[in-house]
Amino acid sequence: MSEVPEELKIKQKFPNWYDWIEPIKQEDIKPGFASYIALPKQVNSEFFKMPFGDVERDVFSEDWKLPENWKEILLDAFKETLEKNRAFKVFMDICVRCGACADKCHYYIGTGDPKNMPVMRAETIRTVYRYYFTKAGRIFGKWAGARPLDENVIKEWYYYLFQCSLCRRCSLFCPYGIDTAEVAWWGRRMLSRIGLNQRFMCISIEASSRTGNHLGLYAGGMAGSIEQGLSELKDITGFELHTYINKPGADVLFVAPSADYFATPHWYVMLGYLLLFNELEERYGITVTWSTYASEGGNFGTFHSYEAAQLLNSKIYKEAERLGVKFIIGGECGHMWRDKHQFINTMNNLPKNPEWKKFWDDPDLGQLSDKLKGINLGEFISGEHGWIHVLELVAALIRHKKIDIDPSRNDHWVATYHDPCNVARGMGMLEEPRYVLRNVMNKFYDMPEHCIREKTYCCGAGGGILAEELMELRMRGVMPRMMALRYVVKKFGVNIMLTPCAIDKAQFPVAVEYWKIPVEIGGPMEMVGNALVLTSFGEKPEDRKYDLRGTPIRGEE
Amino acid sequence: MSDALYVFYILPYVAFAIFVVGTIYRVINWARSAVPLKIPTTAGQQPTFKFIKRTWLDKIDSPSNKWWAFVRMLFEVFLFRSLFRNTRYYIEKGGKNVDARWLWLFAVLFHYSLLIIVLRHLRFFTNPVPNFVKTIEYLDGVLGVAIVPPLLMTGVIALIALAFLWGRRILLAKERCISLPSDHLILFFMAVILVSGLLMRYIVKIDLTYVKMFALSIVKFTPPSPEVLANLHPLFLVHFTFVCITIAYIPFSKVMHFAGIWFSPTRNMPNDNRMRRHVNPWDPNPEVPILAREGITVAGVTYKSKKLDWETYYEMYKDQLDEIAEKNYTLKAEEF
Amino acid sequence: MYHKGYVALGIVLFLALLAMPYWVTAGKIKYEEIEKELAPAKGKCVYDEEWMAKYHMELLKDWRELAVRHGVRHYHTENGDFNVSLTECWKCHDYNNFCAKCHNFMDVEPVCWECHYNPSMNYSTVNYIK
Repeated sequence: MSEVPEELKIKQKFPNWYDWIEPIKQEDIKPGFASYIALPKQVNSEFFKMPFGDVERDVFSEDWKLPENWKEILLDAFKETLEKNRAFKVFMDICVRCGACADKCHYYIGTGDPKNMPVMRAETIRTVYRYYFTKAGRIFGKWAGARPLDENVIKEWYYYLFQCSLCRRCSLFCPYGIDTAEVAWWGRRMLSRIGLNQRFMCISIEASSRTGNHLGLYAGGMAGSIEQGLSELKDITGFELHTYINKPGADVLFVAPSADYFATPHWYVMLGYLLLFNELEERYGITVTWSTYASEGGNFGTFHSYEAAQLLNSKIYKEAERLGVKFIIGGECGHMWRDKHQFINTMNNLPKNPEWKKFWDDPDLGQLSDKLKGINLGEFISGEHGWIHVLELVAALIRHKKIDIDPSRNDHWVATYHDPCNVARGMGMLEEPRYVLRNVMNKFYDMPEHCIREKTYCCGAGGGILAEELMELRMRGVMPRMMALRYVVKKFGVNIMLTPCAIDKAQFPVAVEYWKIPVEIGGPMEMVGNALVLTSFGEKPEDRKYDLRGTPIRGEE
Repeated sequence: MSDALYVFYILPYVAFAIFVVGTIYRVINWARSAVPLKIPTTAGQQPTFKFIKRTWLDKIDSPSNKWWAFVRMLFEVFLFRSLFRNTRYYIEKGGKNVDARWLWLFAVLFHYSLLIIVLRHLRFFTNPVPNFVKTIEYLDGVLGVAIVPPLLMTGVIALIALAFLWGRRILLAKERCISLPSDHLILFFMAVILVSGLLMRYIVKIDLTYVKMFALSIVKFTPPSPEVLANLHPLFLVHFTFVCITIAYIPFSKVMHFAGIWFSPTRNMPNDNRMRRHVNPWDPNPEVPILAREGITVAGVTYKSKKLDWETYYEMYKDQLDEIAEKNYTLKAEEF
Repeated sequence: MYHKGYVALGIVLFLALLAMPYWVTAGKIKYEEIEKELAPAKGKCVYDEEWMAKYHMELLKDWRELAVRHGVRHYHTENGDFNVSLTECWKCHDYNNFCAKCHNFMDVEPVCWECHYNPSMNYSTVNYIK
């Protein structure tokens, strides 16, 4: 925190094209905005080996130690990208620079740096594309908006492609659907071919490829952490609860982002999961298992490249097959759901176990328990995917009155809901969390219309930007969200912002402290856990005295 | 002299050949790239349990199948759906998002005016003129009958919209900053075409009979007589030449967005990832992740990562995993 | 190449759109040297032929103003004296074979008959004269 100045000045600059087409120089790369470059131990590891990862590079030194023939390698990678991804190629060609995307980017709003406009971020790559892949660019050079590669161009790419949180807000407003996230993502992939990987995401990618989760938790650590959660629940509810881990023959595999095992406020969300699963087992006999092998729902590979994403999410279907589960429930996480919704079943083969096949022939939860008949996952999921979001499941359970809810237990909270960008724009889950929240609590207010649902602002830390060294960028990027939050805090007295995203939950507590907004951060499952009456254990609605944070529910008596 | 004028007869053929061949080349070039992932930008409530209401806009913005994706494309192409969301962020107003749909309005006006103008020009290329062209022209001029010749609104609207769209590139700092020379070039072409056209209609009258004979000779592939060519007005030749240049320039320019938008994967793909698996053409059978299967080959060296399958994982953390198995895979509250 | 069907369909539609002049006329486009087919005039026009070809509508508009607003009924040019009247044109020109023919060729609807009523001609008139 100390490195972020007390007062952020947003200096908007508008250089003309003749100036900005010149790449930035080393001295323009500022601390607070530049990501550290990955170390050999991260990208030259046995489980995650990237080209030229054996060299230690410093983003603030003049010499970035690029491999000798980096230009050739990069152009090869460029050509490959154009062939492998139509989106990238089309987006290189059809931008008309109308500027509709420009002020939709929270980083542009927060920094005022012209190259943080989505159009300009993509233009840093397009200019190179024009030079090497179009005739006009070759002939007219600068006047056709083209520039050749040199080391400063690479530095500019690295600097600006890693100031994008891949939130896709620009893509929503673009009349052609140009998705800067796609451009940035595949641009980062190209950079990884010449040895430039961002350190923050690679720490997690490497850990996840070696231990199964981003935090690098070993099996015992994860199990111990969940056990500790169960102890806390015992204190709060008074019941002996249990859960399963790595259990072969369980009905359902549950995958959560690994931050839920340790971090706060993720922790309360995990308590919510545990309460829900216990109630489901006790009441309907559904066994939900965790897995230490597939212990990571999140996927920092989706910030890095297609291949890295695949490396990380390849474990989950394999584990589902090994354990013989029927379907998979996913926890609260943002980019995880971009990955789990849009990527995972393309990047991997589906589980082939008979239980899976049998369940998805008629995906009605009645198969698990007669009493759950009528909740049909086949309405929008098929066996070609097999994932359901925990909030979707809870919404259905509430709708069909399969769980008992006492919303008055959340009366001490006045909540607002932040749509994680990937859940909103990469999946479209907008209404389910709100449905759940309206049912589990009495005081729920949305933020202004322009910054919720599909138009939601990013928390400013997605896409690998959650790094400590990017604190100033993060605090600037979160500014539009904080302004909207401040508005509802003043208007409705909101005291908690709920968001089903692990990165949000890590970013917002820092952000509200910096922006001095008196709210707590939490997840919808925490509210579900508070309101969930464990009827099958004999709990009465008024029995619960403390919420999952240990604060008294109905005030001090 | 008159022979040299035949250049103008050749010109449209050359321009059209470049346009048609170039456009098809670009389109096929895009089509040759793979679509590895299904990445629609979901701009509305996803298809979900039936009890969650989805409005018709949700169905369009978050299409549940190919049909709705097609409808989304139509909305995108013909109504500029995404631009209709446009806002402007005013940092000096405390971060207020102000509705900026004027951009949508002028974009729609500009494009549709151009479309109608092009359709109206069919009167030069057809003989006899089909009725629908007459109807379009009648409707176009219905507000401007008071003057002679009737003022056609699309011409004026196109000019105003053009002035607006160019004006924002010149006057607004952000738009000026992102504009490349090519952005101004195409607007310059359009300006010359529009102004020369309007001049010919309202101020510097020219003998249109020769123009039409010239136009007919182009569509009929019969070279016009030297007399026709000799009587073409210089202003018309300017208009005509710039039209040809613009048409030939399209395949090399950003105007290709008219074709490219159909290829935009964030718009033309349905949000049905969980219903239907999308197969990546260059990774159709991903039993083992690419990094562990073939690795990355760069400059002749292959970088391959070790695969963390269950067996490897079990070997690495055997004691911890066995301990979990001993507990019968069940976790209970810790005893203190 | 991927999605061949869609791409082929798109290209066909694109080409079809470009071929619009042909299919909207069902392929019947007639090339006419219209100048040669117009009925020759019987006398000298108000101004020289070239000027008249381009600006006759402006002249008629001026004449309308002269006659209706100012009551001026005579117009003198170096080509002679003329009555300021629509019928003056038909002294030399055949309406059907000159005026109408060329207007049809160019697809220009003369607005004269929206006000002027001429029983001998099959032209629609604006209702208020009825």
